Amino acid sequence: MKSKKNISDSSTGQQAALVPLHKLAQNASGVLIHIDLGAEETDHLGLMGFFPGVGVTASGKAPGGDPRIYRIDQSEIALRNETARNILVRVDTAEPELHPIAETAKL
Amino acid sequence: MSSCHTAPAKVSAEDLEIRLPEGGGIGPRRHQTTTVRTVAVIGPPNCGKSTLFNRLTGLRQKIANYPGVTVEQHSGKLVGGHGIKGVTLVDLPGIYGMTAQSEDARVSIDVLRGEMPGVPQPDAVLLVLDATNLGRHLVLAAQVLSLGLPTLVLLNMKDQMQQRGGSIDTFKLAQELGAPVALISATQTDGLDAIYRFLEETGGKREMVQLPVLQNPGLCRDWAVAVGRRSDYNAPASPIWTRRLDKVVLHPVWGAVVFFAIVMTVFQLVFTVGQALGDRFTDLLQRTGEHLAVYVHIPWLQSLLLDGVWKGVGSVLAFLPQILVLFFFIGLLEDSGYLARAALIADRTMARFGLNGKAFIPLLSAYACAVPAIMATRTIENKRDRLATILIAPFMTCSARLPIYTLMIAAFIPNKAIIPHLLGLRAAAMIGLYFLGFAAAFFTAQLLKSSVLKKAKAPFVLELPQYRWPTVQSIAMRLYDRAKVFITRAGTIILSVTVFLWALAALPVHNGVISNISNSWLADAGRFFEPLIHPLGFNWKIGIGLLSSLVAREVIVGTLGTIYAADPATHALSLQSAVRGDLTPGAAVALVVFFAFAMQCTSTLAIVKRETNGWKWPIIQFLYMSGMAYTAALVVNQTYRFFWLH
Repeated sequence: MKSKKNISDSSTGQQAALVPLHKLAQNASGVLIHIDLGAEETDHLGLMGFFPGVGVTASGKAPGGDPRIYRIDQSEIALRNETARNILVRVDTAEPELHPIAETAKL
Repeated sequence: MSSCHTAPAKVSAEDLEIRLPEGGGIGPRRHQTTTVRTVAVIGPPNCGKSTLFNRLTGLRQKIANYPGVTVEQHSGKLVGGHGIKGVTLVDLPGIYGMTAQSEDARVSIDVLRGEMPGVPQPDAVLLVLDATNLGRHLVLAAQVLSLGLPTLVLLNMKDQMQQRGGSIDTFKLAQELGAPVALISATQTDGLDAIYRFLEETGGKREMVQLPVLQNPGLCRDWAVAVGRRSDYNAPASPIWTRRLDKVVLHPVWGAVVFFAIVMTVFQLVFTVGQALGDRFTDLLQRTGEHLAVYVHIPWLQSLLLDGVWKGVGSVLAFLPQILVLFFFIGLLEDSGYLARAALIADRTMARFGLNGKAFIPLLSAYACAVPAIMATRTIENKRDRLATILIAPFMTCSARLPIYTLMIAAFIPNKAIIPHLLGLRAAAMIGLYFLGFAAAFFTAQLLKSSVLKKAKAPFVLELPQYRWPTVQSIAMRLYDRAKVFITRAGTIILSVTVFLWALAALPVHNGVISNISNSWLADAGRFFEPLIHPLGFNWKIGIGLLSSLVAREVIVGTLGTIYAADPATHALSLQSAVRGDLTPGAAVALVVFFAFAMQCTSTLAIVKRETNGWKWPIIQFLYMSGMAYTAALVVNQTYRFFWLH
């Protein structure tokens, strides 16, 4: 299941391309659909904001490509690929909207 | 199906008599029944709880820009006038929810539920949330409010939220939560009056407010999003400079360049600026000692004060400038947010050795001292990962090793440049010693994770903070605290040891004349151990130094200062010259290698005992590290003898 998968997305009832989170292209966004991990890990990820239905953006990565950084809401959270490959996302096809203030905001 | 109760709080119309103080919508007025005595300060990690706690209590709990700085509860009395007396604030480790994933989170949850021995259940709660990231943090708000304690919700980092175009209607949020809400900036001391008003007006009793029972995270997140929307929460733009800096810092090539440039710069400055300051400080101490000696006319007392106390304690104090230079840079890295990125960069290597990436931050803080580092392992959820990190943390080069490393490097390594103006031979030698500690830690981690602590890999989840400018106040406080610890140890442990050793070096007294050190009890004791350390290239003086350093590593420098000052043959020499004349280069390397590996810190053993609930692991750790130190020093010295002396 480590690559693209066509399964029915229950939230839309349509066939949609689901990819493991670690395959989400840099700066691409998607909607988290399913977490296939143990209860403890799923709970922990839930506390960090990883729920089915939440929007997620691949925002960066460590120099070696693993771990990768994901943005959920305003948080940047790093996950190892071995964890992220167990999380399925539906890839957004539309270009992510850039916040109008993003270009002018200061540190 | 478990559900997320979205039933509105049971708040009557009178209770929802919302007041609007300046700067934020302090919400429902509470009944005044009892006096508030204990107030918990809680919130998600890295949202500014300890900064707020420090502002309200005048204390100086450590703060830094990465999650997991606070790992146990700290109490302090509320100060700041307003006529409120006798209120104790309890600063708690950050939590994401009311289920304990790690030891530090367990502390917070136990305190909030009144299940922590020795800590009374809080009468009220200051719930600190990051105003720049409210969507996710409101889930925690619901969980904390459901405890039924009077709670003031503080939306911290108001300045950053507004700077980046965010906004919220605190009045509406207070209505949604059934709890008062205030928008504050703890760093700028903005909006903190709301806290005093809350404590003045809040009784121990709170109207039961039923907020969501959070058994279904997805539904609760929906609830949090809906609450945010109804409160007109306009999330601020993500910080553009954080993204830009991350593009460089996490770049496959530039990231490594930046990392090594930072490391080289820090150590080069420790050996240029730090050494220059240290030499001046040594000179000042020496001159002061000579001036004071004039006023003491009794020979044995002069010897005690000058050779025992002044040269012993002074030889350790001389390294204070270098330690402060090192801590200045560690402070910059911690406060800026770079440290969390370094953890990310190091994770791949950590994973290769079976370690959790979260171990990186405790291991990095072990460069300062292993004691807080071992405490910081509480943020690691997996118990085996945590134990492995506790056991390897003392290998990291703590600041107590810096005096002996600096002394030996300055005594034996010439002051030459490897890369002109960028990297000297001495700085390179110091980096090598730091690397040696790192390598020993990773070798041990591999050993542990492939044997007694073998387990499936634990997930690595790390929230990256935004970059922030370190503040002068924060760095200055850090340096002050470190200097205080160093000087206190010099004035207590090291002073006691040097006086004791001076006495042993002066006894027995024959016909009212103190002994020559070579005939003293100290020499007798040293010679008793000498056969054991002779294969390492050490004489009895170094042996006494090693014995005294079992209390704390830096004591050896004070001990050697006292011993060489008491010896007529080396009395007039500087400590560097005395050591250089007493050791071969092979023995000098063996000595620093011994210090790189040996467990010579009673405070660390005590904290390992506390954190592992028994003596088993500290004893194993002591034997393992001592055995490794002895073997490595033996190999180094014998190799030197074999290749250079034959």
